[in-house]
Formats: sequence, C-alpha cells, structure tokens
Amino acid sequence: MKNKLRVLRAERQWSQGELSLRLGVSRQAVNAIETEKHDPSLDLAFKISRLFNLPVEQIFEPENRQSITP
Amino acid sequence: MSAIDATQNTSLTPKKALLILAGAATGLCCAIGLKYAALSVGVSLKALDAFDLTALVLGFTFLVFGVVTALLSTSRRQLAKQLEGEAAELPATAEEVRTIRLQAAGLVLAGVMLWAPVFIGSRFAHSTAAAVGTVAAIAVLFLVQTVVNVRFWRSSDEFMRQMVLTIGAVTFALGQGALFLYAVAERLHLVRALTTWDILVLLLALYLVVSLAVSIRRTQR
Repeated sequence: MKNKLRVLRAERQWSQGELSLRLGVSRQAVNAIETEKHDPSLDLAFKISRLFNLPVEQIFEPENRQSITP
Repeated sequence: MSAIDATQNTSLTPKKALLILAGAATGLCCAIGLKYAALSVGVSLKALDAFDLTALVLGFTFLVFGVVTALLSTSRRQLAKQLEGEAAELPATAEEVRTIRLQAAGLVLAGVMLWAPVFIGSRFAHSTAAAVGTVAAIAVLFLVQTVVNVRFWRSSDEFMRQMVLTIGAVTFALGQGALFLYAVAERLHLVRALTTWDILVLLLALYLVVSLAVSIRRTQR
C-alpha cells in the first residue's frame, strides 16, 4: 500500500525514532511502513491518522484502486 | 531472526568491503578456535559427521549473533544507529534495549543447546549418566528459552510479530516440502534414512537462512 508517511514526518521534522515513540511502535516498523514493506494494522493506521490529523485515505492509498460498488 | 538486521542499500562501499574482510578473517579465526576448543575437550572435528558439523556452525552463528547483539545493547546511541541508521537522533529506549537483550539471550541459549549434544555426545559417548544429565540440562535451558521467546513476543510490535510469523510460515512451507520429497526417496530406498537430529539441524539451518532473507527484505531502507 502506498503512503505519505515519510513526507508527513519530514514536514514535522521528526526522526523515525521520534515518530515511533509517538506511535508506540518500533523504529523498524516506521521504516517498513515508509518503504511500503509493511501495511499497518487498522489500529495503527487510525493512530497515524489521528497523529497527523488527516483522514486515513489521505495518508494511505491502495496499489490497485478499483472502484467498489456497495 | 535478528532485529538488528543487515540493512540499507546493496552497493559495495569501502566501509562494507572492510567489514566483509573483517567478517571473513573473524570467521577463519573462529573456525580455528572452534577446532582447538573441540580438541581441548577431547573431541576431534574430523570424527563428526556433516550434520554434527552443521550443528556446530549453526550454534556458533547463533552465539556470535547473540553476543554481538548483547554488546550492541550496551550503548543506546549505537543501538539506535543500528535500528534507524545514521540519521538516528534519539538514543534507544529502555524498551528497545530490553527487546534486543531478550533476542540476544534467545540466540545464545540456542547456540549452547546446539553445541552441548555434539560435544557431550562425542566426549562421553558411552556414558548414560552424561547423556541423561545433558538431556535434563538442555530441557531446563529450553524452558528458559521458551520464557525468553514468549517475553520477546509480548514486547514486540505488530511489525516484528508479522516478521516472526512470516519466517515461521516460509520455513514450514519449504521444510515440509523438502522433507516430503526426501521421505518419498527414502521410502523407495534411494537415499539413506535421516535421524531426528539430522532433520532438526537441517530445519534450523533453513530457519537461519529464511530469517536472514526475510529480515533483510523487510528492513531495507
């Protein structure tokens, strides 16, 4: 899943260590999300959303954006 | 699997080349050291079969990884650099140090538990008392390692847990596939029968390779 975490973190001039402390996860987890090697759980995605005060869909974007009809 | 993973880009820099050379030299020294350590307790490496030698190499690898990891955890700044790269500003937290030390303890125990059966089995080959004592001691160490592993799991975040599960799943898939094919060949008398010790050593070797591959892939920057 694509995401803007690295950009958002850079805007606030936070290191990966600082962001990991704010999110309560390891630095490796932050790095893996930024490099798109790990898709965060819903719980963590919402934590990130609250931390940056942005909706989840403005931070994360699926690789394949197919329209889903209800 | 180690949290202190081989990382970053794959280009060969002078620093990396030096590290590789230092690693090769250390490996050679350790191999010679291992040979004489074995001789000092009355065990000749030449007398061991391929599986016992593999067990010693694996045990040695676990021990080295464990000791290096434990040493790294003594400096919070250095540990932070290992975890985050040179850009690390904050020193490692107490929680990070604790998690790394648990990992180190698990690795050292794994190394000892792989070495003991080979050394004791070779040195006291005809002593039932030594065998029973070794099994009992290893059972205690195994219990301690299980506690360490559970505590490591509890202190890990979702990323580390997913990595552990991936390593387990890949090792199981590859291991059971290879074991199935070998079992078929063995049943048809095409290859020699393996002992449970042989299978365990092969499984742990596979586990080591898979855990290195998965952790390198997941922690690249």
